[in-house]
Amino acid sequence: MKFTIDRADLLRSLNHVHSVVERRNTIPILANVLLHAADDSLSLTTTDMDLEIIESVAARVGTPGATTVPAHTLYDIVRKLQDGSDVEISSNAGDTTLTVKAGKSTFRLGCLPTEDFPKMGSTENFTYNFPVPAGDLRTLIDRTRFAISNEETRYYLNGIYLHAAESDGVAVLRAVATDGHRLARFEMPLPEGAKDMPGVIIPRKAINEIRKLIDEAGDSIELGLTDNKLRFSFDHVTMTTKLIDGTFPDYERVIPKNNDKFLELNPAIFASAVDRVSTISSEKSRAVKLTLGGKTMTLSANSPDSGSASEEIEIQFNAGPMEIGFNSAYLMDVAKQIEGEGCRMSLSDPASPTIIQDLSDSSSLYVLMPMRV
Amino acid sequence: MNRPQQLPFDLGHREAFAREDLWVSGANEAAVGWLDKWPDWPAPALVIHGPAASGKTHLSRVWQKKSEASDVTAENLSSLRGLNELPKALIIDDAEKMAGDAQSETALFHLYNMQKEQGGHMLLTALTPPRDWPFVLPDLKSRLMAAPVVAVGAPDEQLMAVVLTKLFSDRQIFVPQEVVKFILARIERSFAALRAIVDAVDRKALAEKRPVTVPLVREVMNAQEKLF
Repeated sequence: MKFTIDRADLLRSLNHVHSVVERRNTIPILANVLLHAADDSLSLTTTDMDLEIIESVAARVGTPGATTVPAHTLYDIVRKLQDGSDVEISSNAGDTTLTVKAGKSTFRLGCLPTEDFPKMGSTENFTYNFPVPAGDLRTLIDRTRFAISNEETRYYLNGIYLHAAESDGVAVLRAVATDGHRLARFEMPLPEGAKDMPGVIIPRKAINEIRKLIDEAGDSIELGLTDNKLRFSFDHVTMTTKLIDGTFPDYERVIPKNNDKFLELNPAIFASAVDRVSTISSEKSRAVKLTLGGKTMTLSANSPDSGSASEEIEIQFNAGPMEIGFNSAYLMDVAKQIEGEGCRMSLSDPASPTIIQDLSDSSSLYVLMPMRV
Repeated sequence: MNRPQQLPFDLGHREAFAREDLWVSGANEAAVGWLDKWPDWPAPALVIHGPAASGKTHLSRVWQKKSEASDVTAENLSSLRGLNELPKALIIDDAEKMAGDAQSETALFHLYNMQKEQGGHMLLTALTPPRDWPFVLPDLKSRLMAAPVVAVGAPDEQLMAVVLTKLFSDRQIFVPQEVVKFILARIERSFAALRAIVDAVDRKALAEKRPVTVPLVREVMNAQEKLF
């Protein structure tokens, strides 16, 4: 195998694919990127057995061929090469060594055989295929991923639940994430071809990787679904992920229908007040107490170690005095998602879920469980 | 002041009540055999008896799925009696509580006769066999004494372990073997106790974002002991 490629092109592609490769691997081949040069194009593949990215990029191919080399090392080499240079990559006869040359630098890397490189079968037939506008997919991820659970034993919460649903009689594609304390829901018009799709849980790693790529994607990203895999494809990139094999909980039951105390406030002012007051709340709980009455909300926190804090902000509230506690980090996470100048909190009582919504955007909905303070 | 505590969502879970989720062991083998045999029962009634939380309800729910039976309770007993046509299958939990009261017994006797007439069935569950019930109506007594009566025992060690694992798996929680052993060594031998501990452990793990481990279970059990 022998080819020459522009350093910037190679760096961009390696940047896309190398982060799939885990830093620590018990299976050596999984640390490698599969390079396949043919027909004036280089294809790069990385996988961790659950997630696979294949990207192709233009290259001047002298001798077609394929081999695998450590992905992070190759990425680091190319990253440090001079910008604007041409990189010449070649393997020896038995594909046991890869030589990387640029300017006066030469690197030699050990190879592993391509036959050992696991394939995830991204070429198989996908039952449901539909396009999603890149911008919508970006918003869908941004609005929900902060609520994904990091607790590994709740594997069925370690991702975003994507499914077709109905909202006020309109067919929507809905994304939901929850960690058991807060929940984020986003919906967008249901793309054509998605009507019969099954509900699937997309693992966090795939969400994070596709999110990195979206900004460089064209207008639309094609989604393909089977029972246990999801494929994203656009331009020269194909990302295939296994889905989480679990049942997403019946999340509708935790979205209250009858909360009758409504509070309106400015999310930016609220977020910075929460941020200031929570400086005092103890590291572990991060609790802030909201005292609601008439046109003011008093945010307060205290900690046996560091003291106390309080701040007042203006609100509109349709009910009598009430006190409710929340994890300050959860409040800020939600407030950050709200782009409009007003948001509404719908409350019931200090021990029941509270809904937060952007007054100018009905596509997202957030639910927070309070803290007992 | 107590340390502030995060409340978790009540996300619920699906409890598997299907026949294939029913673990057949020495304790319930005979009862399961009878339920599998339905509708080929020799009498309009079948009585299953056993100690509290020995799985009688699970058995009656399994049969309910199969037979689409309606529940008969002390509250709806008299209104059922007024109907011209009864559901073909009826479940009467805690049946011995109806014995001793002339009005309830008359209603029960009536249901029995109607099921006999229309070829329907009723499943009665109770803590004790009918021979120990304080009947006041000799006719009802003789009918139920003649019906097949099957006992379920308290769960044995193996059944307890299987049920505990199943209850966690209903909630999509994989528990290490040492957690199962830890709980079984310290818990009262009943399904009710198992269900309560699994519920409490699940809730605490979700509230504190922790995996289900022996230290977590120990905290839950210590807190429960303090309550009583």
